[in-house]
Amino acid sequence: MTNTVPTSLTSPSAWAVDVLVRNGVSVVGDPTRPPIIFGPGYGTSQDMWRLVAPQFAEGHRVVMFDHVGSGDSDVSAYDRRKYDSLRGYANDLLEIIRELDLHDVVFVGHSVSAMIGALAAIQEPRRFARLIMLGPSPRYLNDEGYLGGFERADIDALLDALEVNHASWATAMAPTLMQNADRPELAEELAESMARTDTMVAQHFARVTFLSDMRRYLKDISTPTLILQSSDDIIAPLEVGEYLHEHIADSELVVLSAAGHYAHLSDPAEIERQIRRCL
Amino acid sequence: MTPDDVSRALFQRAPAGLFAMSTDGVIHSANDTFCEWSGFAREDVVGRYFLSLLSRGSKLLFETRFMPLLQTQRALNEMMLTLSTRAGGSRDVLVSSVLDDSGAETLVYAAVFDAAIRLKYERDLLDARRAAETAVARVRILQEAAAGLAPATTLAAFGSALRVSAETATDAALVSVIVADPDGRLELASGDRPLTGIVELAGLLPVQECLSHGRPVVCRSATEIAASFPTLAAGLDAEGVEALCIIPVIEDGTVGGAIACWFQRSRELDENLLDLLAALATQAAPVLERIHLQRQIEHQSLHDSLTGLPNRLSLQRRLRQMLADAELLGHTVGILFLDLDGFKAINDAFGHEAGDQVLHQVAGRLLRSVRAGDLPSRFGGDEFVIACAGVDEDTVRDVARRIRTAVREPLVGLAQGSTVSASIGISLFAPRGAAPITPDALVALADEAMLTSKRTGKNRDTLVTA
Repeated sequence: MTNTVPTSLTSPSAWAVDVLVRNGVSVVGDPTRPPIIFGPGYGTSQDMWRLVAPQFAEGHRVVMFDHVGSGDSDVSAYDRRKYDSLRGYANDLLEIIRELDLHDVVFVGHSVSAMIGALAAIQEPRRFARLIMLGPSPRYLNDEGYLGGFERADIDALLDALEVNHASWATAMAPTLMQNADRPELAEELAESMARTDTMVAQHFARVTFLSDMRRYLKDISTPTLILQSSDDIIAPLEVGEYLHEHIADSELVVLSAAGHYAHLSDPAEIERQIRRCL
Repeated sequence: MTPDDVSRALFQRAPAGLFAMSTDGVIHSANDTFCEWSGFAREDVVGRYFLSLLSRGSKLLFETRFMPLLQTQRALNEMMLTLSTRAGGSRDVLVSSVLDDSGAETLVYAAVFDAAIRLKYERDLLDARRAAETAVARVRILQEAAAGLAPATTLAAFGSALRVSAETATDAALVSVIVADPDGRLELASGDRPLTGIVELAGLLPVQECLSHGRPVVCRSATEIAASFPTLAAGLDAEGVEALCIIPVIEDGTVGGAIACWFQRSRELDENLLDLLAALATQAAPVLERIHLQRQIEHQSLHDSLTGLPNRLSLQRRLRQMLADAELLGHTVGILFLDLDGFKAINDAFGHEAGDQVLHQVAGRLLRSVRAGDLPSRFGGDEFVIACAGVDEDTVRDVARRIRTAVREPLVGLAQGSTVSASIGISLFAPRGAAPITPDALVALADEAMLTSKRTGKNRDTLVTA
């Protein structure tokens, strides 16, 4: 026996709103031109791309999004089982790509988004033209013969700090919420509850980001890949960039003179130049 | 001292570290207090990344939370960080900071307070709260499991309640609840499983190992999976399974099933989590036993305990369905009513145990002689009834002949060498154009036909049409 599903439930347009709202997707630029997607790193939102992404609006379709639980995403869509691995995030990215019907995607991923983009490109290589990884790491923990930069105890310290500092997030968020509030005391309550959820997501996402081991998947990346590694990024040391270059078949490693983990903020012009080289 | 001197002294010697840095974290200026706390000379502090003065855990926090949040909120108060001092020690501090973009270069001004005592207290508090929250979460999961399991009367309901609880406990991408029936056959009671359509349930080796040893099977990484289950490693890898744990559900000393959790990243699976899953399995065990018992009782009520064949009640139910289907499809239904010839003599000569052995052997021969889909049953005493759908006179006579031949084979056991034969009555019902008939009436017709076979010399069949 076959059930007839109402077409409204299966047609892409019914899901359209969901996927794009869920991930706070914003699209600018020329819809007829080749697409570039910018993915945010752990703990950040698409706002971090503000100095780089708009530069491509002319001549490209520029897509930005937030991971569920961060930025403008729908935090109620945070499903701990789905997001217990980077695959959950990679599936979201593929859904956005399918929803907007993007092909020949140039995906620029910062930090953890670099590995999320890689997983998506392994799953559906035909959608991707290029991967550009900014400050990527396939494995943050040191291992035998591998220098990731961190020990397990450091991750525990981060998880502790996220929780201990939860009150600071709440006080930091309250003013923003209070700007339009008639009753400031409600804004404080809201900030407190947002900070709770935020801390839960931040801790879980931290575990998934910093305890995952993506090294085994690098050999499966067939998309041409540009690795942009800062010379002094504490989160992703230079050795990690070299490791990636060695293990991704079609890859190029560029060591940036730019500083730190947020080169797209500290030296946006250089990042823009590197991306343009690939287009 | 002039007021300017006082201001300078205040800046340098305030009981708080003060510094200014660029938005990429390079320290531009710092006071004496801050330099002293860091253990570095001023010239080593200025021009250095603030990040490099932090412990590794605080570095992660600073880069992934502090700076992004400061960028969007422009001010951040009382962030707890740990300085890593030059001498190799550490100093817990609270940092408040503001972003100032009024000048040509955007700067971050930060005030650093010594918070060793407060942070130790906060950490103790955190440990206590975590322990309490873990305990509360554990109790909640077990309570929800109890509430879900209690009303379960089917394996599906049992599996679903157990699966949901295990999902909440582990965040596993896939949870499968697998049960083993008394014959060792495996059934997926709830959830999905990896390698569907690639290996049978019985070929899921981690599950098999757990079930056969009654011990948890835990692989925390893809490497461990490859070492323990090399033949399945590639398949599991292709489906993204990087860790797994299988916990046995042990009822009254026998392994009745397992909770299988499959993870898409390497997981630490600590004692707390494994204990919680074991507690879930312990809760589930008596429920599974109850459901198995109910199934057994239901099986017993519909089967004959001596021969294992369906009994009269079962025949009535299934025959009613068979007749209803026949009406719809226009099939002819045939009933074979079989009574053994010479059974009483064996009973009298060799005893009831011998008689039981004969009935058991005849049941086996019936099963061998009927077509697939035919329904043999023990009707009572030495009477058997076989219901056949979609037959005509020839095929049903064929079945009867095969049965009579098989029944006449020499017996084994206590009545070794003796033989029995079968008198068979056949009733046929073709629904087209005929008035509906009840199962009892159709069986009664076959019974009468059997008596005709008896009267006319035994070991033969007589056919009537309803």
